[in-house]
Amino acid sequence: MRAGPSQEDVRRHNLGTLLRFVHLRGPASRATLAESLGLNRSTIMALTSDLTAAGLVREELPRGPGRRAGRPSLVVRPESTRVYVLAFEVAVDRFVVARVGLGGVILDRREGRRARDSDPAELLGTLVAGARSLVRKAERDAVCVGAALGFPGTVRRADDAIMFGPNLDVGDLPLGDALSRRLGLGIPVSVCNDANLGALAEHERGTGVGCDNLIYLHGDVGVGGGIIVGGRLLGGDEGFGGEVGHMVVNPGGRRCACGSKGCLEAEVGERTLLFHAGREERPDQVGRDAVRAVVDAADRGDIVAREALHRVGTWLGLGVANLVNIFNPGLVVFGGTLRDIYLGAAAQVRSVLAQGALAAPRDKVRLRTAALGDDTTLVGAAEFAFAEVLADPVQVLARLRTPENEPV
Amino acid sequence: MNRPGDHREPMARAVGSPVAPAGPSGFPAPDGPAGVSAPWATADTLGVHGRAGRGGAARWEPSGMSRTPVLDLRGIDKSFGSVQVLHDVSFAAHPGEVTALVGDNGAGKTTLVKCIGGVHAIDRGEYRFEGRPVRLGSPRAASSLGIEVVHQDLALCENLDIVENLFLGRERRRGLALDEETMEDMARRTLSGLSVRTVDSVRRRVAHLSGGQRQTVAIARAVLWDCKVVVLDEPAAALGVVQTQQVLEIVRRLADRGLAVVLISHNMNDVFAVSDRICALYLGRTAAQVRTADVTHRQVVELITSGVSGDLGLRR
Amino acid sequence: MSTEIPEGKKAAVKLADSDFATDLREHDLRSALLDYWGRLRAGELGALPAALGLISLVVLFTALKPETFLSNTNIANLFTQALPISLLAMGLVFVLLLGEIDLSAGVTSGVTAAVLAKLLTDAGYAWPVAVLSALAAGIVIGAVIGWLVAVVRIPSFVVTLAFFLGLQGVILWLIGEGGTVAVRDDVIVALANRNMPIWVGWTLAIACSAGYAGLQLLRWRRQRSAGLHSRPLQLVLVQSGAIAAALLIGTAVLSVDRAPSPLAVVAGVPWGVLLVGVLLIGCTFVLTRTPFGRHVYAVGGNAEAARRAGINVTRIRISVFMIGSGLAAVSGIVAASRLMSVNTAAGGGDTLLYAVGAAVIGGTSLFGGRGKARDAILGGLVIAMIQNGLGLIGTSAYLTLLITGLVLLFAASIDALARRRRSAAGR
Repeated sequence: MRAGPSQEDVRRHNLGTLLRFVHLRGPASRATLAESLGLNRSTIMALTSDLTAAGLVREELPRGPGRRAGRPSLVVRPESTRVYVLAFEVAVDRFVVARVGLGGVILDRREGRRARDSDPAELLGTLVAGARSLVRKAERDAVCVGAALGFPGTVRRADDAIMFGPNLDVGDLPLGDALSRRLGLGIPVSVCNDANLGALAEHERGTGVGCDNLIYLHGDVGVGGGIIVGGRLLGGDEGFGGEVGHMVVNPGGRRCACGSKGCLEAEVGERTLLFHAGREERPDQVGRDAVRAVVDAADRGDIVAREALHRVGTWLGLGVANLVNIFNPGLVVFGGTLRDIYLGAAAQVRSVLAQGALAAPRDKVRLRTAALGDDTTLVGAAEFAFAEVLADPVQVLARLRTPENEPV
Repeated sequence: MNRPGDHREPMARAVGSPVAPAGPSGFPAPDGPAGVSAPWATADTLGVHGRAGRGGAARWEPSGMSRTPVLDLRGIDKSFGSVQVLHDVSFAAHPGEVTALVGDNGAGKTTLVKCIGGVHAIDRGEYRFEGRPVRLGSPRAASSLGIEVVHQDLALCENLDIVENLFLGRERRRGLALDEETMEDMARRTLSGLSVRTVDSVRRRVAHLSGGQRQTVAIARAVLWDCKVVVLDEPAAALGVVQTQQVLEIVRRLADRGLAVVLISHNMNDVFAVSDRICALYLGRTAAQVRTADVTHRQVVELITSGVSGDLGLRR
Repeated sequence: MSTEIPEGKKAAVKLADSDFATDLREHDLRSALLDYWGRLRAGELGALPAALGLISLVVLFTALKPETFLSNTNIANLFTQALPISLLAMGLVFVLLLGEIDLSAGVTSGVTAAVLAKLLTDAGYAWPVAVLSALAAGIVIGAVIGWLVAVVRIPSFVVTLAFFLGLQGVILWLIGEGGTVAVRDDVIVALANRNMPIWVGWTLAIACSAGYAGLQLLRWRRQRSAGLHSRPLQLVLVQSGAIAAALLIGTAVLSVDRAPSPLAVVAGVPWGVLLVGVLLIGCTFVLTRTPFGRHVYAVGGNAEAARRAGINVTRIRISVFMIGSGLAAVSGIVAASRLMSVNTAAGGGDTLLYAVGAAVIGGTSLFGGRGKARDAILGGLVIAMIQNGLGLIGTSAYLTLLITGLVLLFAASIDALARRRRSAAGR
């Protein structure tokens, strides 16, 4: 127990704050930084020189038009190509690995499809191969400062163990540890729930910037959720929180993969939509393409597809109404396939919401689609992986740079 | 996107003054292996940022519903010869909101839009812009107030590229010559501000763009100059699903930037997906102007087709 | 084209920002070539057909007439032959850019030549007066045509056809039936018939090459430092090098003595080439770097869109016809200089068609909105080369006409096909 924060703590905190600012808001001039962070200019100068020495940012003259008279304030840019993380997204039938630079720049990515019943060990191998090829292509002096993986299932916070993945069974494979070991970069690979990461991503870089109470609903084969309350992700006691996909909306309804009946996921998931649309037997179109095909058909006037979207929209609206009543979010964001479904069934979703939610919390709630498009989970994983370096930039980098001399 | 003033950090004032570092207050302490970040504890960083997000973000907040409408039309009458097209129409558009204008064919949507855009002069009624009564004699007058209309035919020059189209008629120049650098930079900023993610080069000719991308360019051209009201006439007509999504997301983004957006659409899903208010016209009269969150699909359809739905709509 | 960037191309995408992958991508020679190939496939042929045509004509005529076609005398001839056609075509490029046509450009050049000759020879004015009057005559004719087209709204085809007939009458009236007015003023005659001193030629060639390379590099640097879409440096260097090589080789060839008798010395770049060069640079600047030029393209592409964007379409139309007729006047002066006389047939007959042919072969679209000033030069060279080469081979007049007609038709069909391709690619 300490008496109070030391000089060192304050400095570390300020370093992190400055780095976080340029990471999230993009390059900024010293003047902007001073104004936005409430620090004086000489402090900013000291902080940026520390970060520059650590190779996290660089300073340069502003470029582009709009130069004004007088000495221009130097612009602080994140070293996007030299400091990066590995972000993994594993969905039920596709996966993405990306090298994401400081500042949120996706530098390079590998993606692939996977068959729904393929072997998890095979998946691990593919992920490792993809990540290795990304690391190989990085600049020589670039340093990997973290890695995170988004997974469609419930993950225990304490040890990153995947407790339950109803649509993607990896058995008791410790995915994070295995990845970390086989990559051999000396960094742990965190495993998180994909929708939680999506919520984080939309909150930090997407449509939810500036909104501290939001609910993110992610559609893949199932439905996941991430709930941000007061600017923090709601994890619950063990980190399983936010599983809104298994909120029962229709008692005695369709059977869910979790064993229950009438879960939100069972009523609005991809399989259900395709079942209602009479399209479940089409192996050529799966996942997002299949969902989009239904929305497209409905848009063109296909009655079956319209009816399917209508039914799914009803349950989705009911689910959102419950969430709005309980959490009073400022924003509900639809991501993944729910983005397509929401835009195709918005009228029904809103109708049910208007009828089902209390007037007071419904009044200000905004329904939005994910601004990051298909990359919500990926961006969230990257943000998660960056968290450590943003919390203590210089220390973390110093630690990671030391064993660099060893042969890889 | 840079939003100065959006990120205020109350914690950090000066290095010298001892302030408490943002600890993982109210959150479980890191419990991972020593020296390695416990992933969950890092979610605390959300807290720091989240608190920061509040300051100075007023422009980005959804507008309070009490705010005065930027565009407020009351008791508008308009006839062409002996045919009265608009009877006592009221219409309001609020900053930061998407107002959908719906109605059957012939309900007077197009005429109302032309009155808003200054193409037609109104016969009777009050046209208020930012609270002041104005009279518009021409589209140019509307444009100079900050009211832009994106018509369905878009009016783009296919043989010119995106930058050239965006600045057409309002080119930036440096001496005699065009200032291409500034224009290109501004074009890219505007498109970035709209989160346009599908255009690979601002130097691409419009002839090579898809329908959705053209719509985006037309919208970007309208909002490139500080306008306050954008009227979009059926922006998603004749677009595929993916392109419609992109356009709807841009429509939403315009409103989130504080503009008053008027969206004309036949598609109820599009209307419900992005609008904050719905104004339904029925045979040249305002059947109802309601908050989207307060009505159901069926009510709006009833308003469009019969002018009445329950206690909403025209009194007879 | 799909609306979404294919997955593989999403590399180097900044998330907080927007995509513009092509703009942000570091361009190298390979990607530039790929882009060019993509544009070709989408029907944006640019100067390619004209360049290919030039090369194949050179190869063809060299093979057929190895000793005469590439002789220094003939090359110099070729340039002076191309001068009036190119100048007329340059004016037509402006008119064609609007999707209009000026059938009277040829006879306008005849009228201005007649004005020039009458003032110089019959009235005895000094050459600057005569030249300015000739130019003024051309510009006035253009203004009237433009007014009729833009304000009265008669189709340009009809207006200029009427002028084509009427102005021939004016020439007859000025010169007198069957007559010829000689042009003997030294300055005017020198324009197409004298060469600049060899050192001047070299100085200009080197200055132009260096100036071009310098401007391109400057622009490249500015774009790069501003983080804008820029071409790869190698491409800029290759282009500048090619231009410099063309200029220097041309100067070298023209600087060799080409007099038929060993007693006299005829060497140097013809003064007319300088005139064309200056006008080319001027027109290119106006078309590509000024708001006026931008508006010309806009009106040609979509007049309604231009009008809604606040462009004064009427003003653009009238001024374009004025520019077209003004350049026709310059062309008339050069033609008068070359022939050292003006007769009643000046600017009539096939003059105009050759000029339209030159513009179209160079790559200017007959449908409006597409074309460059340099098209006129390239196309003018092609037309001049066909006439010159066929003349050397000694084909009969009917064949020359036939072949020229076919080449024009060929060029127009390339234009039409490319347009179809473009609309297919644009969807």
